[in-house]
Amino acid sequence: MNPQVPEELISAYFDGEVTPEERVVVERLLADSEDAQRSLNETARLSGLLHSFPRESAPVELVSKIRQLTDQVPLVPPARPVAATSDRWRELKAALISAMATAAGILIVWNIVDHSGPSRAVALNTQKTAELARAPGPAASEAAVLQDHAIAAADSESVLEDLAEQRSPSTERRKAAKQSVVPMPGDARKSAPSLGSIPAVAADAVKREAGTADLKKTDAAAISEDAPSFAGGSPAQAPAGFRAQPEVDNVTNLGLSNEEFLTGLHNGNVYTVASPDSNVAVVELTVVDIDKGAESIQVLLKKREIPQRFNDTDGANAKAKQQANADSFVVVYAIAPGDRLAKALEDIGNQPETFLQWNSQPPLQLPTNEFADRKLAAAIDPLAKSDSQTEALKPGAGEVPRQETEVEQAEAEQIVNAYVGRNLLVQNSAVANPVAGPPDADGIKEKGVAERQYPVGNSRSMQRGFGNRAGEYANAKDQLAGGYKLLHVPTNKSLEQQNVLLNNLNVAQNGGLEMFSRNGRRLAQEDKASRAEAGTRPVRMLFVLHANQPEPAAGAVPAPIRQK
Amino acid sequence: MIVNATSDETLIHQCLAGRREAFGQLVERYQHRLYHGLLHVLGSAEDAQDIAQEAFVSAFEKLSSFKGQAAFYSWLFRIALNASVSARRKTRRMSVSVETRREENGLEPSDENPSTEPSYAMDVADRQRLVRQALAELSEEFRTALVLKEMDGMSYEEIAEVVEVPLGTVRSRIHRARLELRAKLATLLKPELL
Repeated sequence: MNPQVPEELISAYFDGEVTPEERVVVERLLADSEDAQRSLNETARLSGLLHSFPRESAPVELVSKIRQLTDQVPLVPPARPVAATSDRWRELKAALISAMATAAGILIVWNIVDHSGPSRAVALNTQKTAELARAPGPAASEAAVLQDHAIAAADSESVLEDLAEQRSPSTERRKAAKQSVVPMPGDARKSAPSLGSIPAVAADAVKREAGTADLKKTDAAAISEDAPSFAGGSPAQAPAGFRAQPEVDNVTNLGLSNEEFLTGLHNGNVYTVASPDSNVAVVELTVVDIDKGAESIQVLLKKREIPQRFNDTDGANAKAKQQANADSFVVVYAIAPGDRLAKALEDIGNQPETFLQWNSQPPLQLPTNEFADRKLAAAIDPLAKSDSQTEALKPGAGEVPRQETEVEQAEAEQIVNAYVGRNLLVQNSAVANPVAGPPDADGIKEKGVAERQYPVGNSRSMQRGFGNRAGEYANAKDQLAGGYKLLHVPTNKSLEQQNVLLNNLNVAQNGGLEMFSRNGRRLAQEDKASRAEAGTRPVRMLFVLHANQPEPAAGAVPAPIRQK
Repeated sequence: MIVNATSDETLIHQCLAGRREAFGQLVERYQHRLYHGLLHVLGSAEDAQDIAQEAFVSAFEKLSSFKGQAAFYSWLFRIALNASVSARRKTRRMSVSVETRREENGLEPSDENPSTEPSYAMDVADRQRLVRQALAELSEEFRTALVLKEMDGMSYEEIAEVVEVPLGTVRSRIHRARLELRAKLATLLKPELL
């Protein structure tokens, strides 16, 4: 180890607590020194161990005890000199003038902003907004954006307050999570404790390798809710004083931490994870061993009363398993009440020996009822079925509708194909356009890990795909029984197969993201109306199990941790 | 994106204006976080509950003196740490052995391990016990810094506010805590797990 770069610096680097200059030094060392990489990896493993503890909730009686005690304590208002009547009138007048001036400023800014664009995540700091509004130039427009978001957020505030009123012992912890924006080790927001000190993708990757940290990271780790946050683009655009939430985060998983994702599932706020009608939540799991992971997840789903619904009657899955190469993966497509899926995910977090980590990914959108859209069914050829096989799946005129298991099977295969297609697109774009990934904390585009997670094809026009027909599809699917299907998916597809996938990927691209960002308010209201069903509405979820593999295009990324 | 409805600052103002229930919201917001952090700093569920309770009540009493220079939670945790120091002067509960403490404090590993294979549960339970044991053997300064960082998720700056030391000291303590913890675990855990 270079004595000029003590391990202390690497420890701080892991925590994202280094200056830009220090980061350069550390990353250079990481690229050259195995000792440095080992030190970083060991720190990551240790962090993973510490995060493996279950989150302990305070005893239920704590609140009542505190209330009893504080009820006996007189409230002491802050010391404040009593002003003479005339002084108080002057104060009041000054406050009124100030308020009117601020309101006028806000109105002016509001009117000059184009509100036609899609709204994004919110930033709430009206004081800061007012300051910015008074500032000239770009700062004023930033203020306008913030104001826009603040107003949108204020509209949904009552909804959130109502939701927060829900009380039950089992929701206490999740309620706490709801009140916080939770940074995770594998979460870009975790990388932004303060502007200018955001660790590179490298540390993030190591943290992802660290195991169960994501699931166990506390909601206590939140960027505090009263701290203003800015989510309107790259961190470089964040106004001073705002914590950066890189936009890439919203692309990755709708800006949800794992905790928030679970909260959404538990509370039935499925709009926060995927639309309940046609969108499929996607969760990627990194497993130590693919076969063991597949076995374990089946056990977990059964434990949560999510039955296996499909028989591999044609042996296609077994054949795929035989063909599986080193890059193959296993998917489990499940349709089940959100709370059961959430519990299954929590169970997964309790098996760090098998599941190193999990992360939610952008939802995939089911295109439409495959009965009604033969062209699409043929285009998205599930698991390399031949055209004749695909054709055989389609009902003819007057034909008796197929059994629901067949529908689910076709649905599962479509969504798996969409997932594979998305990954192919990402991989291809990473090769063709090495700087296509999202900016890192300093606005510098990095390749490798970033591209893997943030597809360049993630445009809004692609996302809109089948939004209009989602309802139609949902109606046909509402009555489906729950269950899961497990598939082995070899990825050694032919170039032709890859092209088919890529050409048709747009139909399945991230519909949920679009719905979430554009219609957040409406969805929140709908969610409020139907929250009585909390946790019980069926959610479609694709679990994707990947073996622990080295990241492509490592660059400054340290060697991944290998676990036996 | 989930946005919190009311800021801490607003709740504090409301409380100072006579709305006691606003403080109740603060308690609900932070009780689990504070308890979880204290649990690992103090190593005892009973102590964590007592200190959390004392900290909230004390914060309520001193609310008018809260200047808002630090986050409310940092301020609250500082009160809790001060309370724990005072409490420890009176009792010496920390001197019990780690094993005894584990039995007393109810910190058994989660029983939610879903695996049907007993080895999973055993592995996780054993590992968590060993990590907890090693953590408890760290000096309080190191343990506090590391817990606040790793389990509470505070930034170095926030930790510096809580423990009232310079930023560089926080960095150093966390690093040294990691070194010590790693060394202790190296003798307790299989190499591949560390």
